[in-house]
Amino acid sequence: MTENTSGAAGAGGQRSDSRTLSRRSMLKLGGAVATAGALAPAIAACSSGSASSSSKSSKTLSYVIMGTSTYSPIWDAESKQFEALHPGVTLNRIAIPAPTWSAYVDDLKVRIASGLIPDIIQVATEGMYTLAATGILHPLNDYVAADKDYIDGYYADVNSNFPAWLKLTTPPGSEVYYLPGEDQSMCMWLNMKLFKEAGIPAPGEDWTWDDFLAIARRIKSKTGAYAYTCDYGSYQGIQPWLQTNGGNQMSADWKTITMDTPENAEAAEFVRMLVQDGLAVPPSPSFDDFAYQAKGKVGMVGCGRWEIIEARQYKVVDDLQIVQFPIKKQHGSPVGWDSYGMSTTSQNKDLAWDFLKYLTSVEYNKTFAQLPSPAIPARTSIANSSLFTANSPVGTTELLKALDYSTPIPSPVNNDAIENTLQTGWADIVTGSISVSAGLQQMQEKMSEQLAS
Amino acid sequence: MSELGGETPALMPRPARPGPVRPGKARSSRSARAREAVVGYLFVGPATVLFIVFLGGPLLAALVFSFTDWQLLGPIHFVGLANFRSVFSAQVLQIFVNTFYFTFGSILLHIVPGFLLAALVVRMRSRFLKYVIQTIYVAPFLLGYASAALLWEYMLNPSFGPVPYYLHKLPFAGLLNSPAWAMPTLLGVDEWATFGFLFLVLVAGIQQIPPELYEAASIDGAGPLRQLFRITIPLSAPTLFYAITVNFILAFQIFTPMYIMTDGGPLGRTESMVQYIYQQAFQSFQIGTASALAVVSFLIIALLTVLQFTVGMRGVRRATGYSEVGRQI
Repeated sequence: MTENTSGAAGAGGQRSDSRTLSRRSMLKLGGAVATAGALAPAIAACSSGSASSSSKSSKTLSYVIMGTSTYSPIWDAESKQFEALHPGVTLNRIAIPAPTWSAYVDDLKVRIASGLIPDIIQVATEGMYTLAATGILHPLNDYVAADKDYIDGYYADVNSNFPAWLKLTTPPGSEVYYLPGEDQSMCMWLNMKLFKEAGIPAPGEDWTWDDFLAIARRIKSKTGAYAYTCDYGSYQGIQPWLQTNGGNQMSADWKTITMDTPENAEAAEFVRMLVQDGLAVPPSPSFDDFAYQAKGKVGMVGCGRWEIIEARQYKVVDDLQIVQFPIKKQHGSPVGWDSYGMSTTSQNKDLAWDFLKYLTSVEYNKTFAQLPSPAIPARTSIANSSLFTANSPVGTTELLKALDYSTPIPSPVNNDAIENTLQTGWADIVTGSISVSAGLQQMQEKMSEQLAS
Repeated sequence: MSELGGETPALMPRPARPGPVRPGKARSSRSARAREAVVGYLFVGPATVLFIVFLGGPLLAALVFSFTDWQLLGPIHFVGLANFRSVFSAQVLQIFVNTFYFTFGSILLHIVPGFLLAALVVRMRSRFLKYVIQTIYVAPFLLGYASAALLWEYMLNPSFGPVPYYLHKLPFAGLLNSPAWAMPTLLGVDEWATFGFLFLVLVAGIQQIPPELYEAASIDGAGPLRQLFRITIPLSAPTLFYAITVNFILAFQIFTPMYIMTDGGPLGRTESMVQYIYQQAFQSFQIGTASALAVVSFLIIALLTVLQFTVGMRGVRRATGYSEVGRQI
């Protein structure tokens, strides 16, 4: 009777009854559980509109930044100060450790695609256009208009190039997605101990490639140290050489690759000669050039403000001096800056605007300048003050001067892939694996394909 | 039992003789079977869920994406087989050449010296020396591949590394910057970093050979070389087969040393397939192209593994004289 009433059981109980789970039904159940698990974050993101921000009543503001534990003091101080100014508000920080800003933007894209959209997103030049073009950022026009006097005052205190730079990194239209943030220019950092040992004074502001070569030869012959390291990174190892000769990797509007120009060829020949003559350390992906400079093995390293952290760790700040990059035709430096966008899905937009405003405040800039600030504070008044230049190499303000003639680091969509091609191709040329003309031609073709894709 | 081709041993419990089924007993028997089934499914459940979420799901997703032009943060369109055409581009073919070069080089460098060393170590009389040698060869494997790659990048740095310092007068001083020497150098680093794993596997396999066979062979006048070819190699065939298969799969998916030490250079001569897939997916965000390449790579690995099983198992059966090896594996 039992078998018959159950309906599914066979005669004599020889077949499974309905209480026995079949493999198929178990797989269905497993599939449902797995699907639910896989969709949970997306469902959560859709329902709340923000993956990590909590409800309005809890006053939690989530933001994503690039950073490793090295930068924790900066972010901790920032959180503490903002939370003190806004009682009851908690900042939920998501730090993405990445070796470069391009790599950070790549990581960010993956997280956004997976549903992680916090209230505020830190982004640097390399990803500004891409992020704004995706439509995940909320235009700030209304907020800027409402706080016009304050914002005008802020713009009066930042580098005057910022409006043009921001225009370049924002899709066409009148929308405002970013405010100016901390910036970064490129200069040459000298180990003055080696310079003194070689009997060389620090070069002047308009020193040339020829002066650089003469100094390099003298350092090598008098001290045995390498005069320079060809950094693998495009920002510090390639761009300055191209720009000081009037070249660049792409046109000013980032629409055309311009690698195979005579200016770039001349720059590549020069750097290649430095390596072949044993004056410079060839580029290598994981080589820590600043560590070798701190140990007195290298005379000159091209870099931005970020090396201050290592300089203080190695206690070599007093041995260093910062000067402009040597010129062939003109002064040149790439410039990059970071900024913060407000996400369209944020449930705390007013609070998010308060945070963006706080990051432009004098108080925040002062705090940033006093910490081991790895970039130049956005406010010129603070960057020129002793708050920023204290415990820093002689010539730290040269970094600010370089901002006046700097060109934004090319940052089209697919920037990381293009940068990767530039770095590997440049390394091939400089180490002698390929001729300058063939190498630049190959880079021209491959980077053009990547730009078009 | 029938799958194993043997007879039911006398001491094994025999199945109950079928008899008349009383309703109460039948219910209890069915509920016991149901409980047993639930327990069984609970045991395989976690593994099944993990498989679906982390292997089956992504594999299916990759297959679907390979027919699209998805760029992660944009619309998705069906593009047919367009992404698979990139497999035939000169760059991708060069990357396949690099990957096969590395894979077969790695198999050769791991299996031949690994097997000979394992055979030597197993027959050593001094247990102390045996442990010392095993520890020396396994230690780099415990270090982790990323650490090993960074260490060797420093060792081989053309300006400050100890290796070029001592070899600077030889033609291969700039090892990682040389299109001809970069891949052999990475193979050397791979050998140093991962040799210990397969070496241990091979030692374990050779240790299973009964020592009486060697004693009998010695009495019959067989020397070490004859013993190696007549006893050690044939009886280690299943282990060797396993080691070669695992080595092939792992080497074909190589990524770490290229990413850390050469970034695929010089002239793209060390760019591996997985590295290229990573670049396509997470730097260029060409998810469709990356998925197509991943599917092709998966098929290559699967086909060659099946081929290895087919050909290799025949060899193993011939060498061991045991016809059931394949079924057991």
